[in-house]
Amino acid sequence: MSKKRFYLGLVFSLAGASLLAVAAVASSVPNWAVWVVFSIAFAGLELNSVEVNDRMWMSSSAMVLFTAGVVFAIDGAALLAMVLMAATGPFVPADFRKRRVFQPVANFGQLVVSAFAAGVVLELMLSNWDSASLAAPGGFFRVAAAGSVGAFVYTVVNIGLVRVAVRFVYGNRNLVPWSSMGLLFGSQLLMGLVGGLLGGVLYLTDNAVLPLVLGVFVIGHMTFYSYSKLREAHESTLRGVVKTLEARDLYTRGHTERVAMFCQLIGERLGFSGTQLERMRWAALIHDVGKLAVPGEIMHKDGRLSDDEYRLFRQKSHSVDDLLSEVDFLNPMVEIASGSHSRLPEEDFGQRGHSHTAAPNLEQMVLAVADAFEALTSSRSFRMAFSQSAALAMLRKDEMALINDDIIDALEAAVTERGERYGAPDLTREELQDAEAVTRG
Amino acid sequence: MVRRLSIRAARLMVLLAWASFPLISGYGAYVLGSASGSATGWILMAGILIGAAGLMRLPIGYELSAGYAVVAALPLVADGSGHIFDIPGQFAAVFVGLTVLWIVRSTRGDRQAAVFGSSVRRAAGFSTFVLISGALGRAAFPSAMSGWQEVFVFLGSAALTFGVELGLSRASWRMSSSTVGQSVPIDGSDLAEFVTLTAAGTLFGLTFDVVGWWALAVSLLPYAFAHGAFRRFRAAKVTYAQMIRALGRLPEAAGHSPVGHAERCGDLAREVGIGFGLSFRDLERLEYAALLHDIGRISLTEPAVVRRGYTDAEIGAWGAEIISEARYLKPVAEIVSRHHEPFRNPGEARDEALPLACRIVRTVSAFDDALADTGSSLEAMEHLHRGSAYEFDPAVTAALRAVIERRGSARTR
Repeated sequence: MSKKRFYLGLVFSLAGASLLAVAAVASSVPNWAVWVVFSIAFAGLELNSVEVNDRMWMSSSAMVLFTAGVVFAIDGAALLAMVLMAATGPFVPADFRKRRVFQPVANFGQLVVSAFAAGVVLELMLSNWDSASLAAPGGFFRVAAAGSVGAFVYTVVNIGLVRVAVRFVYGNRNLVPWSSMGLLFGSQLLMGLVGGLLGGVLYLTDNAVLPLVLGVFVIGHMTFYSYSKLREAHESTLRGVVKTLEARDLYTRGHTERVAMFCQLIGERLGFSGTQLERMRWAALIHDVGKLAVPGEIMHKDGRLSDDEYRLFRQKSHSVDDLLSEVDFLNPMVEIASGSHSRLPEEDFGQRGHSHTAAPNLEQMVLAVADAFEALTSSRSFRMAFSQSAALAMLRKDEMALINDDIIDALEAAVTERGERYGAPDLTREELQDAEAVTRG
Repeated sequence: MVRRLSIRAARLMVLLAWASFPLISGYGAYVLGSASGSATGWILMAGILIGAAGLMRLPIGYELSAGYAVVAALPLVADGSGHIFDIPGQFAAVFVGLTVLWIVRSTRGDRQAAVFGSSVRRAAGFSTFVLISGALGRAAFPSAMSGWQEVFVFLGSAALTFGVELGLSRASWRMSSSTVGQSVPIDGSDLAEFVTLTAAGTLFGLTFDVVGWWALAVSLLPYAFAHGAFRRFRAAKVTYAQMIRALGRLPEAAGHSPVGHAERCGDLAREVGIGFGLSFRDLERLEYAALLHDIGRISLTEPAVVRRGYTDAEIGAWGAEIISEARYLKPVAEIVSRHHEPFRNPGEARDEALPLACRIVRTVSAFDDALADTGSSLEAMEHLHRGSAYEFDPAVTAALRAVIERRGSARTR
């Protein structure tokens, strides 16, 4: 993997460096004082980008890039100005401190290439350009069009390069870098359009409009920042509760985290989108909160539960599910989590799930498989852990046949690929007999 | 903690606003009647825009109006022959806008009293902006202004107008705080929304004579971005509050505390906090702490803990441990960890550092427990009075008493 990263970084940075050279030759030189102001704004916004959604980072830097592009295009210096600005963006102090090389180098190439493409578009669309043609009828429309076409090209190239990089490095065709590409695309287009318009306005009026536009953007940006903090708070709050619940039972400690991991592995194999993966993670996080309401004597009973006890168990844990589903945003997750329980082989409790007429959806089945696999490969108060192959075989044999074999294959493949084994070691017959002999003393 | 507005100042402010309302509308109507044909057209258009914007629901503002965007643009809008709206013209536009709003809201069936109250507020706020921007512009820069000077005037008028909105909102809240379930007045957190609205308007005004109607795109697109951010943030806030409520009820689901205790405590604590004039952020923390003060009890499902026995301090500490997993809730965790502490131990000086929120949560929770035991809020209140000055803070007990009395006769279970 590190070799792949090395090659990718090399290719990206070489591409970036050569395009920088091309721009330096082909483009005229921008006014450096103005350029410095723009690139400080660009780097500042780039540093403060915000995680809006699962692994998706957003920043208003594209707007500054395109404002500068339009302003400099009038002197024919857009290409060099934009490419140089983009080149300064990815060098984040945190990366230097942690001595990370791959990320900034790859980002450098990716941003420079995208900015180069956008710069070419702006130069082409705004060539032979001056303030007279800007003030002429339709002139401003041309600026807007150049800004948005440039932003479109910039976004397409940028996202395309990220996808290529992710596929090459992680070798996974299904992993989608961002969950809501549409949102990213739309916002980048918007930024480009605003940037283009702003560049035109700046050229025609004095610079007084700049603080107004930047003010609005900075406020919006800060709000997005608080939003992303709040999203983190959602998850960490629930984590705190789950941790406490798991602490009560030695056998289930770490169960939730492992189930979440298996869900992630299966989901990635099956090509889930980022949103789906996030939903799975949440569902895994809450799938056992229901146990909280279950009386201790049932929870810690040695051996299997009677039918009545089992019914009480289900009823109590469903009351907590109802509670959680009052949170709008947890609704789909609770749906997955409580749906997954009823289709378990219920190995833990010696029971079959009650038959639901509705067919379980894929997400519920994935969680069910992850949950069952984790349960089977760890010890319980009434039995030892099964070995991994035995657990997989049991899942495959499940009579309800509700569980799709693809999911189990995906799980097996993912676990094998990571070189991990869960559960008790597989023993041959002789080893087993030896072990029995030892225990009998 | 925000200082309480004196009731006399509150009355004066509200009275001023009401008295100025007929003046503003009369003047606006007079100007509209005597305006020339083309001016009337502009005034009507601006007025309708103010009205339409006023109907928009803002994502985080509680009582602010999107009409401010239009009002902020009016003094600056110009075409080739100079500024379109003089100050009387701006008043006329505000008058038309308020009329449009009134007609639409009345036909929609809103309560007349509410429509009238908000019209008074809007009239006061809008005309403050018009007057201040006009006066500031004339006083500071008598000759024609450059763009930067206009930005300076904008900043001044926006700041002063927000001050007036803030004061009026607090004043009317202070005067009507005898009603139960009062909403919180606007505070600094609404400033962001206000600034983006007025900045977008100013941007439109500044660019209109240069780029024509493209100014709409230049000003609205940045606002759309900020608006989207506000909406997302607001939605996340709502779901977060729901989640805290749900988590607060977990100990009940497990049978470790009485059903509904957490939610009743949350509501009561909030009302008591409003009585103390807490800011929006402090109120939120107080409410969350009251909802979550028993969350430590979910550890009681661990048989070992129950066998060993536990103290209130431990419940508080466990709760704080669970809550502080989220960095956002650190302040709440601090309240929860100390919420069991008495106001003062006999023979000792009181701990000045014990936060007000802790005292409120303790008192409110004790009240709800006593209410469940005795079945009457009078008896429960008596219980608190007996413990007052040692167990409970007398000031909090008094504030709680006021809330209970306002809620009317005993709300027994």
